Amino acid sequence: MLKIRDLSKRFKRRVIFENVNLDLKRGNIYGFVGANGSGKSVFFKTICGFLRPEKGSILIDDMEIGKNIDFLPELGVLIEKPGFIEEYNQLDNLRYLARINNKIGEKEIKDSLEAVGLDIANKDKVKNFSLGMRQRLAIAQAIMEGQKIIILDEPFNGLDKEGVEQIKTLIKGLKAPDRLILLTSHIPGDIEELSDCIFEFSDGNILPV
Amino acid sequence: MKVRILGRIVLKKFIRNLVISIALFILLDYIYVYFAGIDLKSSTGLILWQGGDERTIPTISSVLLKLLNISVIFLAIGKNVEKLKKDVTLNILSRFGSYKGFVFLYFLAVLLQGVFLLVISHITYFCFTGIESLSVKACIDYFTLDCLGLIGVIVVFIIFDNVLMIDNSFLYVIFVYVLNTVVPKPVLIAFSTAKYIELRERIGWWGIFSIIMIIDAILITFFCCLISKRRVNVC
Repeated sequence: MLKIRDLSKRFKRRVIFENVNLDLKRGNIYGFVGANGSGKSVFFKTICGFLRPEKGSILIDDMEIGKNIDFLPELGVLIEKPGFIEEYNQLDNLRYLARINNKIGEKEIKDSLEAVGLDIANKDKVKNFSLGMRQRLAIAQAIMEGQKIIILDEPFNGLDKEGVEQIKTLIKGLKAPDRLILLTSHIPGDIEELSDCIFEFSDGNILPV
Repeated sequence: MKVRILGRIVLKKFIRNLVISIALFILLDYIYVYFAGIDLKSSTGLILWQGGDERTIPTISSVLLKLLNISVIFLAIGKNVEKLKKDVTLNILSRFGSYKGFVFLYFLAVLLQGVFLLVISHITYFCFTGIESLSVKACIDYFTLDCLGLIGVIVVFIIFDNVLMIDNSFLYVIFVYVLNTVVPKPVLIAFSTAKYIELRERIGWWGIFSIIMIIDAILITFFCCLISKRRVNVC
C-alpha cells in the first residue's frame, strides 16, 4: 500500500499541490487526469522520492520515503520526455539500464521491446527515433525488470491509434495483485477504461472523480 | 557495478562535448597566439595566463583568453549536467536506490570533467606556444591554484544550478571571473592570472594555496550538508 499523507510541494511561491492524502493499493491501476502544467509530473517525481516535498510523508509498505528508503522500491517510471543515450541503439540503452541492478538478461530485454511493439532487429541510434518509438522504448524500460510499482506519465504521447491500443492492452496485462500502476493523461478518455479509480488535479488539490 | 555504469553513461554523454571543447580551445589559442603578437617558443611567449610568468605584462587579450577558456569549460559542464538531468537521470535514479550515492557520484563526475577540461586547456596552450624548462615550475604552480580555484567555482556553480535552481547559472560564474579580473581585491576562488601574480607578490604561493584550500573545504562541506538534507535536485 502506498500512503500519501498531507503532501505539499511548491516551487518558490507557486503551490503545485497542497495537503494531498491518498491510499493507493497494490493490484489496482490509478488514473490521474489534469490539464498540462497542473503538476502531475511534479507529483509523481515527489512520490517516487526524486523531489523533496515541503511537507508531508510518503509511505510504501510502512517504509517512509526519504527516511527509511530514498526512492520507491522496484520502480519503473516514465515521467515527462523519455530520455536515453542518443548515440546508442534501443537494445544497448536497455542493456545499460538493466546492468545497474543486474536482475534480468537479454531475453527479458528483448521481450519488453516486443511487448511495446518495437522491432528487436532495429539497430538505429535512438537519436533517429520518432517520438512514438521513444515513448515505446521508455515504457519498455519501465516494465522490463518486472517492476512492482509502475508510473507512466502521459504514456500515450506521440503514439498513433494502433500504438495507443497496443499499450492499453499491455497495461491491462501488467495488472497483478502485487503491482501498483499509476497513469496520467491530460485527456481523461485515454485512461478511463484502464483505471480502477481516477483522480483529478485541480488548483493544487487531487480529488477523486 | 552501479558506479561503473553511471561512469560509462556520463563518459558517453561527455565525449562529444569534450571534442567540441578541445576544438574551441585550439581556436581560441590560435587566435590569441597569431593575432595578439605572441612570439612562439620564446621567453616572451611565456604564457602569462597559463604559466603565470611575471616577465610578461598582462594584456586585455590574455585576460580575455582566460575568460573564454573558462567559459568553454563551464559551457561544457553545464551542457552535460543539463543533458544528464533531462535525459537519463530518472531512468537511472529509479534503479540506483541511493540518493546520496547517486548525487555524490554524479557531481564527482562533473568535477572531474571540469578539472580534465582545465588540464586540456593548459596543454593545448602549451602545444601552441611551447614551454621553456625554466618555466615548468611556474606553470605547474599556477595550474595547481587554477585547478583548486576551479573546483570551488564548480561547487558554487552546482549549488546555483541544482540547489537554487537558477537558470543559466554559468553566466553568474563567468561574471565572478570577469569581476575578479577588474576589482582591486580579487575573490580567491576565481582569479585571473594577472591577479594571481599580484597576490603572489603580496602573500606568496603558499598563502594563496592555503586560503583556496580553506575556501574549497568550506564549500565542499556546505555542499555535503545540502546533499544530506536532500536539497540538491537532480531532475
